[in-house]
Amino acid sequence: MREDDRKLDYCLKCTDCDSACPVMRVLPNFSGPKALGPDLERIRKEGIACDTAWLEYCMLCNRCEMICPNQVNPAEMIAHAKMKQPKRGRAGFRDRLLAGPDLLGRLCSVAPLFSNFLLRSKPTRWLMSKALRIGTERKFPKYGWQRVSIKKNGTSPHKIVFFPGCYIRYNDPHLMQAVIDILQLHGSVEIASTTCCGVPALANGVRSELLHALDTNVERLLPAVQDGARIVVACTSCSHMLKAEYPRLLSDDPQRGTMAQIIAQNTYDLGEFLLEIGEAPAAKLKPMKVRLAYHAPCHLKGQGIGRPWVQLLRSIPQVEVRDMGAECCGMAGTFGFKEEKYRLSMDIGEDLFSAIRAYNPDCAVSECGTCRMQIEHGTSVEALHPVEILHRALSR
Amino acid sequence: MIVVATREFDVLVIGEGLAGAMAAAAAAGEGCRVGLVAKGPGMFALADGCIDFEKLDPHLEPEEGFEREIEFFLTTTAAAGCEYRGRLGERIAVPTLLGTFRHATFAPLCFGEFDPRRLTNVTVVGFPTFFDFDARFIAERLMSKARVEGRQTNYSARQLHISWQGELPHLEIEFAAQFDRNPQFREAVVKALASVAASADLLIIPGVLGVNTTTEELRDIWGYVGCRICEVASLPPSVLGMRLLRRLEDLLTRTGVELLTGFALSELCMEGEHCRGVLLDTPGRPRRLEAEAVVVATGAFSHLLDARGLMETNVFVCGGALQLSEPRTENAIAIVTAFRAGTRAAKLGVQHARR
Repeated sequence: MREDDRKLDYCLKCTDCDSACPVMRVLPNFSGPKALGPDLERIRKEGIACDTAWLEYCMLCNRCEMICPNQVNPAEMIAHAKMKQPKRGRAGFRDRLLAGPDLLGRLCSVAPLFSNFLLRSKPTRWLMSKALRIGTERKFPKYGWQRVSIKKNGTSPHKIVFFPGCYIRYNDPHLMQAVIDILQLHGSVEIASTTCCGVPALANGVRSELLHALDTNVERLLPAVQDGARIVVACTSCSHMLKAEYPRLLSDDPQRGTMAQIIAQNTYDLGEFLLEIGEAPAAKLKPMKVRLAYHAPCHLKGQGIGRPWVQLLRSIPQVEVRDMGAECCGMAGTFGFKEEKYRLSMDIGEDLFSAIRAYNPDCAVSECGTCRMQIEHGTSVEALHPVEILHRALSR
Repeated sequence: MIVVATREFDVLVIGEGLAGAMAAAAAAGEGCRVGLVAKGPGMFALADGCIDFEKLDPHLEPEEGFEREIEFFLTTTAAAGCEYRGRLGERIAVPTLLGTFRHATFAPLCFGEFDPRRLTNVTVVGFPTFFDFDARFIAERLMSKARVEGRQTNYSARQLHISWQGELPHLEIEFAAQFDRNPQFREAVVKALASVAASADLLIIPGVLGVNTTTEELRDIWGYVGCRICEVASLPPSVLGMRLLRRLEDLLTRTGVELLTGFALSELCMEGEHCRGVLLDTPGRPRRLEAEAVVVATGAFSHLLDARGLMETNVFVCGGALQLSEPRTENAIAIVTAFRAGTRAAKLGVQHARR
């Protein structure tokens, strides 16, 4: 009996997972993780097709797996079922497109100013809504053109490979520079020549794209890790993918499964790295009088590393930071872009939006790029990666 | 195996059922730095939260009785906003989905303030979209039971019509989530309840009045409706159980307990007879949590840790993990043994911290 066959019997039908599901809380009649995961899995295992559109409503926030008292992984079962489900029509085509942000990023970065103009213009957005069912309310993030600079720091014994992820690589060069500047205080930094981490492919159920991501990234990250480098990631969805999903997705293959485990063991979220591994920064932190609303992304909670940035930001004199304590923001990467899910995405985020509005901060901070997009869209409060605050406190 | 991150506590509690929450509250009350780890909420969160001392094994009862433990439980739950009522030696009748009464020594106040057997007019209120709560069935059964017992209480059934433009939820947890989030929905529900309250001494309704609702807010709702309300626990996931857990979690956070939930325990770190802490199975690398004393409150179902063999110097086992419960007394055992485990662990934790 395989491990996942046993896990089906672990499900006691207690429905704790349903009580934790953010979609279930706002969408009446959504089947929920228990039904879509372990319940239907029994039927799927018999080889009986039970495609259901509800599978596409799972955001892959992993909250069901966290709350399960008995080690069942509904989100994982749903993700695998999604991959086997045929992708039909305009929505199916759109999902395939959204599954590969690396390709989109490379294309749009050929002429970023033109891409930005085109993607954000009204006729294009109308066309995307009609042809691809992408919500007209959403604006695509801007593509960046600035180059980042890395100092040669050959003498440092600490090697760091920075895994930027698509959002930072293509859309936020300014943030990329901030991360590199901070990381260079702790060792010699190299930018990983990797592709997308694969989260969008997993969430959209596009198997070919996911396999491509796994193959490419394992092959490109392993040599650096074997050379003693640590992988540092500044997006919590990417770091969660590398730490939690890679070993799981490759567990059937003993050789690559081991490689994925080695990579996972050496992957750090930026905040985790700075708090637990990095030495104290040489320069002193200058006081900054700001009020920050902090939102913890679901994929940070899934790593079990606490809230490193709350602690890090509080070490800057005069910074006031409060954890909004809200659940999912509702964006879930590409989920919130989809026309039929736009309203749902905003409803899920309402708890967070109202918490931020009530706190009335100078700025919101969160480690996840799409959480930040959602916060700015839902509250009109500027949202930054917390490292940008640290960077300002160091460089002023 | 690479282990990096380490956190230190005076007392570490394993398990987030009733026993875990009470032990953590007791240790925090003694001024300890407390951490609580759990892979999901316990069975407590699935049930109705009633506590029965009636059939408790007499050998658990010390000469001085349970007074301190019960006092601590009642003040803790009241501070958490999930007040209980009841007295040792007395019995409360709580209506169930099947139209019967279940008896308990202590019950959460959401079951109402008065005994539904001693009132004149009780109305069972059904919601049109719910499948597992049948108001007529419940009222008929309660009525026939009352007649058999020679009581004159009149139980009637009403179907509630909530004027609401949106689709009404079909599950209790969905209903409760709407009730928490949407003020207009809450108003519509309370208005609808008020419309059927006129001639009744008590309304029996499904347990749906919000997952985040405190006892004080419940009393306000009774005030608006103009009648006391008794909520009935549904099939899992029960809103009432989740509500108790939310309130207790909220209290623990307020008293400085760090909740590290969501990850399974991979091992206890033993050093001879002394437990140094635990390893948590977190993605990438396990996380090490160190503590001077450990409380094991993993419940009767845990397959991760067989607590019966643990007789270490600084490990205290309580609740279902003791494996001595008879049916229906698990919660009573939990509150008694958890208070003792929590305070003993705290003594050890504070001693070590001072050294």
